Amino acid sequence: VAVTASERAREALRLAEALAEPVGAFAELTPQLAVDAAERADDAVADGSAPGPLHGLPLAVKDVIDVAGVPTRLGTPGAGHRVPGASARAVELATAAGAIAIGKAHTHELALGMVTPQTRNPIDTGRIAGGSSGGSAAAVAAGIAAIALGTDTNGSTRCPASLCGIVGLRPTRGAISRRGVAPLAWTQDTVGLLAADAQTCARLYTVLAEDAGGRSRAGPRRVGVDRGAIAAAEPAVSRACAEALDGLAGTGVELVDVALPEPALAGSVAAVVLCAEAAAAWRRELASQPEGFGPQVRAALRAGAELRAGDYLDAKRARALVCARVRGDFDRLRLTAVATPTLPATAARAGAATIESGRRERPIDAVYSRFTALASVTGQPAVSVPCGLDGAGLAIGLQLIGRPHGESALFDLAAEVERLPGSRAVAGARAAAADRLAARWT
Amino acid sequence: VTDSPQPSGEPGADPDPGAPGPDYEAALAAYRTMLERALERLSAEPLEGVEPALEPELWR
Repeated sequence: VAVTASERAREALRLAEALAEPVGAFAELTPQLAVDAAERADDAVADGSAPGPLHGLPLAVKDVIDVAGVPTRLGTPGAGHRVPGASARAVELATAAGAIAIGKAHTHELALGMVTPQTRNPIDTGRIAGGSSGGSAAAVAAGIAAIALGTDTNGSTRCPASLCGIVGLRPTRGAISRRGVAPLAWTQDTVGLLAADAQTCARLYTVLAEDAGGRSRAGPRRVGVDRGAIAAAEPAVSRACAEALDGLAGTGVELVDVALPEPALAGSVAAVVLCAEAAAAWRRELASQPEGFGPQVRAALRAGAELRAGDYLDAKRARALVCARVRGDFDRLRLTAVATPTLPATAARAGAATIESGRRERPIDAVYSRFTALASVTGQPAVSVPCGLDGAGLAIGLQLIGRPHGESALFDLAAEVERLPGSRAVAGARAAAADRLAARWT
Repeated sequence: VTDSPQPSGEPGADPDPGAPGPDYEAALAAYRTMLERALERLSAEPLEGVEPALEPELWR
């Protein structure tokens, strides 16, 4: 059993190297930095310093987030590559609290996509890990990292968390600094957090949240349930989410029916905002180095650049409507959170361009962003927590969308879900898969 | 979205862009279609008199 930070870091690095082929979570490992930091942390504790709240936890950092002296490559063929002189604020805070950064995790190119083709799902390596923070999620699910940083602009943390059977948080917009994080869409970007369980994710959030905005109002726990959203998911997903909600009700949580704005509205807002803002953020690179982007991202940026100012503003006006409607539901029904499936379907097969949803094959990203777009548009926090397995043994996540700065309540609810049989089955399947991988490849 | 055969990128959402291959021109056409559909969807909303929320409003 690894007991020191140094031992734990070395073990994580060994496992990451061994699983490079079957899982491929990392774009680059940073063994020297990790071991040096771990030894310093161990020395400090040996000298009498109190260990930080994240002492010795191996940390994976998505490759759109800066680590000083380590190349940031964004998953692009060349655009935006650089070696930052300073770490991102979130990395600074996590490592100052004792976390040991072990490497840069693969990202879907420019964090613009929900597959992460470089990485496979540790639960079933024939399946995708999801994205865009796929490397970060896979590193945690495979047992390499205890915690990971991702980003979540339109679901990029919640999606791979759901598919890999772990917990993923999109925090309240602005609660965690984005300094040192490559932009995608300024008004939707957040740093996302990933961990195997809600308690560890909450610990990471407490370290990183510099603008917690005070506590959200505490009160009786009332969860709005969008039955339409649950019914619209694939049958296994619907069943697992319904069972988790029944289980929550059994713990004293009051369930209230709510009809959220239809997913296509938030999705349309997100599509226009994201493409327009990404095109603006990367305009110079697109002009000077178009081949530095893959064809899909180049196309997305070009299409975004063709949008008119009026189109962008219409999306922002529609955002105002969506925000008002959701806030109205939360206030009128005095909700702590709203529950939906995180994703309508489980992990697609690696290499597939489409996945079945609603009895037809549809593009993967269009399916996976269906329920994640809403919180991205409104700026609310949202957590994905494992809640069950489908018939193929693939993980299913329940999404809980909270009030702004209501992360604490979300973690409490997520911890309740984790105690239910469906969630425990996911944890068991994930641990068994990680054990199988380690036994075969190390 | 890299150079994988994956479709629409994260903006996908409900305005289904189809499933382009890795080809740039096909991807560009798909993104244009997706955005057109998104704008059509937005035009169905009663936006008269609504001021744009440039950033999400965080409430309590």
